[in-house]
Amino acid sequence: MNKVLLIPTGNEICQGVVLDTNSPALMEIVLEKFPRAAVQRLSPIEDNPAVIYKTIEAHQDWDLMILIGGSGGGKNCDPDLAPDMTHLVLDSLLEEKQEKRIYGYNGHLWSRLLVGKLQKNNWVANVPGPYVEAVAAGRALINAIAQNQDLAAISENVAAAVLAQYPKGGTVA
Amino acid sequence: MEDKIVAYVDKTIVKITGIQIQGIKPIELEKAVAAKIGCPVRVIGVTSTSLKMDVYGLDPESILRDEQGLLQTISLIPGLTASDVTQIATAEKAKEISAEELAKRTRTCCPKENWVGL
Repeated sequence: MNKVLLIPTGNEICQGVVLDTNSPALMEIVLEKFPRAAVQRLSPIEDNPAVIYKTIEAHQDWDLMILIGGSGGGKNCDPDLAPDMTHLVLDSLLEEKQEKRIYGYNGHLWSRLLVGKLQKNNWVANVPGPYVEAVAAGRALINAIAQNQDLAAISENVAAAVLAQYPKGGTVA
Repeated sequence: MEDKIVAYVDKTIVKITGIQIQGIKPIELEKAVAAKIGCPVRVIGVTSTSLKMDVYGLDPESILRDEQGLLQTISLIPGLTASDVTQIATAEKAKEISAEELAKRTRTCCPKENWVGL
């Protein structure tokens, strides 16, 4: 793993309303496993599917892209929330992928986690926006990649890590 | 593990309005509020004038009972400024839907998520 790109998403991050504490934490996690990696944080991008799409397309030579935020139902489930677009873009872009969807018992999509590869065989994954979930997902992702796990196992481990951040864990439907 | 997972976590969704936010670290707010009310908290939405959070394992009534204490706690968070009009606008318990209803949902769950504009 030589080049890792962190892509924070969200209008609230772009505007500085919320500070991006996820990227520094994820950078640390990457460097723990891959000390020689070049890790770059992109300037945050808005919750705009076209922008997210173009950003991913423009960085296909990176070994791993981690998109931060935009993984839930967002505004579609709750008008007060941001429009979560990242998972939808990844779904359309990734050629080979695995996904897990975590719902609340109220039926809202809390997190849709995708991991996969683009044409050039590089890894792309998303992590949720809330800090504890982003860190848990990022750590599980990096550990799994470092262990050369396959896509299905990586996906499973990332979802389990996020699920474990809820107070009582979760149960498989 | 199935691809579709339901997290059976009891939560109350709390919205606070009448605040000004710029440069907040949600994890700091989560820690402060959790210490105040004794329950885990997750910030799920932030705008420049409001915030929304999930409070796990505490009923809306219990949250509203000490509204002033909660508002005082969040007013101490760097990046957040409270005012005379700061209030808990809503505190609602998440309502459970049946597994059958959830199973009928499309892959992307929420009806408006049929986004295909690429």
